[in-house]
Amino acid sequence: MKNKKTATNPFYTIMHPFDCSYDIRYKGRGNLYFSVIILLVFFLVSVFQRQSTGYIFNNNKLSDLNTPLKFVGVILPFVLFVISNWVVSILFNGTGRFRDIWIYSAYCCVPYIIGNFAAVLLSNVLVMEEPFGEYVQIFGAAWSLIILFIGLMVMHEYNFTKNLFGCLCTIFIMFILFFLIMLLGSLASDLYGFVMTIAKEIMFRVS
Amino acid sequence: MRKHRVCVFGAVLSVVLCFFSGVHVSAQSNFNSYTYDEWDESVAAPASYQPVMVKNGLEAGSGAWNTPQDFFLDGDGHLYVADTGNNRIVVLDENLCLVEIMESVRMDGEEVALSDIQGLYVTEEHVIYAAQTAANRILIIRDGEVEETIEKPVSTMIPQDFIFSPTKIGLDVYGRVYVLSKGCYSGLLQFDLDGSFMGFFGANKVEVTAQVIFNYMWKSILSDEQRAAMTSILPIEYSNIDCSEDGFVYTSTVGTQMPKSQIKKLNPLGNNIYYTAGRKEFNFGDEEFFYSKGKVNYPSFIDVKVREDGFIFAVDLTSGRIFERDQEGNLIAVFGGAGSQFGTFSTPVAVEVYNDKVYVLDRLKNNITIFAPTEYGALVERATLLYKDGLYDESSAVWKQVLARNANSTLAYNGIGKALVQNGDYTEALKYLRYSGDKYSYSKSFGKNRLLVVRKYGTYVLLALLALGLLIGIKKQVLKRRKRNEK
Repeated sequence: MKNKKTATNPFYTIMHPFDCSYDIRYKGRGNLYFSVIILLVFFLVSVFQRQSTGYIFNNNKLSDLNTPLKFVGVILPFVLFVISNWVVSILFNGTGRFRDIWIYSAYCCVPYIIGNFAAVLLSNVLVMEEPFGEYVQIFGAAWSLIILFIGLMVMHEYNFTKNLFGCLCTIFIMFILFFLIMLLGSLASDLYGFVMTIAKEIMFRVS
Repeated sequence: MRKHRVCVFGAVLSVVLCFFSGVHVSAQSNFNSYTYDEWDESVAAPASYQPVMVKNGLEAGSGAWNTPQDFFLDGDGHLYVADTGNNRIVVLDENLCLVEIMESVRMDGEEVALSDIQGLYVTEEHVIYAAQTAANRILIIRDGEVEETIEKPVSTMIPQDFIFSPTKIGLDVYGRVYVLSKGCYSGLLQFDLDGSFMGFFGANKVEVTAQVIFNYMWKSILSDEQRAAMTSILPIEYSNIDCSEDGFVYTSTVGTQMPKSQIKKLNPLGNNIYYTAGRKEFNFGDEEFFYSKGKVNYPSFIDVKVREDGFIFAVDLTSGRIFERDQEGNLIAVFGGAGSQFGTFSTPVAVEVYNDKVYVLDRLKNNITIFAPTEYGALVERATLLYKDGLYDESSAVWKQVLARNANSTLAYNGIGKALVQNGDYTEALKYLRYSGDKYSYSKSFGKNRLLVVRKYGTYVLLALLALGLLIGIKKQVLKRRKRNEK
């Protein structure tokens, strides 16, 4: 062996979720910069997927691209997941730390990203009757979910049922957080509108 | 030199002013012409039909009309207007000049007034079928004499409390009579040649909306008495009928809560068979709806007419527009609109076609408007018909003329693209099919093109790969031997 591959290599992660999760948690081998880079690539691939999927499979209006929205669409669910999972781990005596969950979850996105990327490439040579791109995507997503599940189980020192319950709770909390964000957003916009109306009214009276 | 400069300045100024003052060629019609792109968003298009004449009763020479409810154009170009409010039938020629006024007819030796006529049909032999809604009967009039009447049929299928109030009439090629009765939810009443009742035909189905599901859930837990007290859910009535030459019955529907399948083409079994080429239901009217008072205003079709060449015209009460589609549901033309100007309507009630002209009756304005196709409109219709007949090259030539007048026409791109596919020019076809938004045809053409590309370059790619493999193998062998020699 040249050198034992460490958890810093995401391609090692996707093949060895048990080892890698353990290494990140107990040997501090995770790389925060790497996780950020993965998320950025995730965002770029999602834009690429929207714009460059072959015409036959592409149901998006190419001229309506909204990159900031796409960015939020990628980053927000990820952040929400990590926060909720960390909250759940605190409630259920999980041993994972916020940093570990973040890094490992980012690493777990790799198969999904690769699957999507491959699907985009395939969609440019396939016709309507051959939906293989979709299969590749599903395969990538399933892989990502499985290693995520395994990794969290190891990281939090849970057994299978407890981890399953934890994941369901995580999803539930994600929805609650999302709802709160929407509520806050609408309240903020209402407040903004209220303040603006008053300001306008005052300006109008003064002048 | 200075003078020259002033000249240049003046020229520039005038050009700039032209841009800002909005100097443009004034539009001829009083309504917008448009078509829909692949995203179902409206885009500008040249006018397909232009109003050429509008006449009210006074101008036609019959005295003012009063809320006419229906009219009918027979094969000779005679226009029979049911002047409902004045209790008469006015006959005009194709240029809306008076031919005859019928105030009463003889029936069993007595004079009978033509009161409350809501629907008309006239056969080739000039036999008039007039629906007298309030009198609950249909008069069959030949030469000013009532030959026969159709009244409430006696049948086990018809409940005792059924009220026969005929509003619209249609005759199919075999002479069977289809009658639309007000307040009848079981469909059209179908009568045989001898006037005997055959049965109900092609009832509208109940639209499954949230309200319907909610009511259904309630009804499953309520008692019988409570259930009886609830309003029952009924399908929506048809608003008008028209029978085509090839034996299908076309119906229109008003006031639905779903814009799909408002125009139906009923086969002899009474099932709707009016779908797109991909066997999907579609909106006959607008794709974009406008909201008022928190509600969506869906199109509401009051009349439908099928031309001999298969084009379907229907008039929408909501927008006052007339929509023309072909047998596959492609939008051919949109014209007319709500308003009080030339070529717009306040309450259109009936539409008829004669040769290439379209006649629209307005109940509130008490007039008839005639529309004639423009050069562009005629080209689109001609190209569609040529394509339908399988003359792809001929249709492609006409579609190119259409494209020169309207670069937004997805139909034209599609027509040219499909003609190119027929000729085997797949790469060129892909370009046109992509503009047309027809993914299905694009995919087929793409597959055929891919096969050609693979056949053309496949062998070279395989040979190159083989050569590469061989080279790598040889290199490995050489390195191995060198190592062995070193040892």
